[in-house]
Amino acid sequence: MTTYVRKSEADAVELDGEWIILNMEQYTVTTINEVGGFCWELLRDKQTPESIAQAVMKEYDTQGRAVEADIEEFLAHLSRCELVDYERE
Amino acid sequence: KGYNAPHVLSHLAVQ
Repeated sequence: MTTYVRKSEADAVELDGEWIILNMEQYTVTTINEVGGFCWELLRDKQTPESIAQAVMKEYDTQGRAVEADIEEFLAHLSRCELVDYERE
Repeated sequence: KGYNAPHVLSHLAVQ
């Protein structure tokens, strides 16, 4: 099981339904969509793809394994952008 | 709200 948490040097603001994440150590600016912002808020604490998918399905009243696959792909992208740390447990 | 897959829209390095 892999857990993810956002890096402490990354800070985000919401603007017109999109989120802008500033990484103050890497000097990067990343924008994510509204559902991505919901996931980002959850990543204040350690999360697994499953726990985020559960919260997303509850918030957006949706079902299906596709949601979990979407979350895993999104987390992998955030990791490539160096915005989250992850641990394999 | 309607569900859209979470996405990274852009990623820029600033100098």
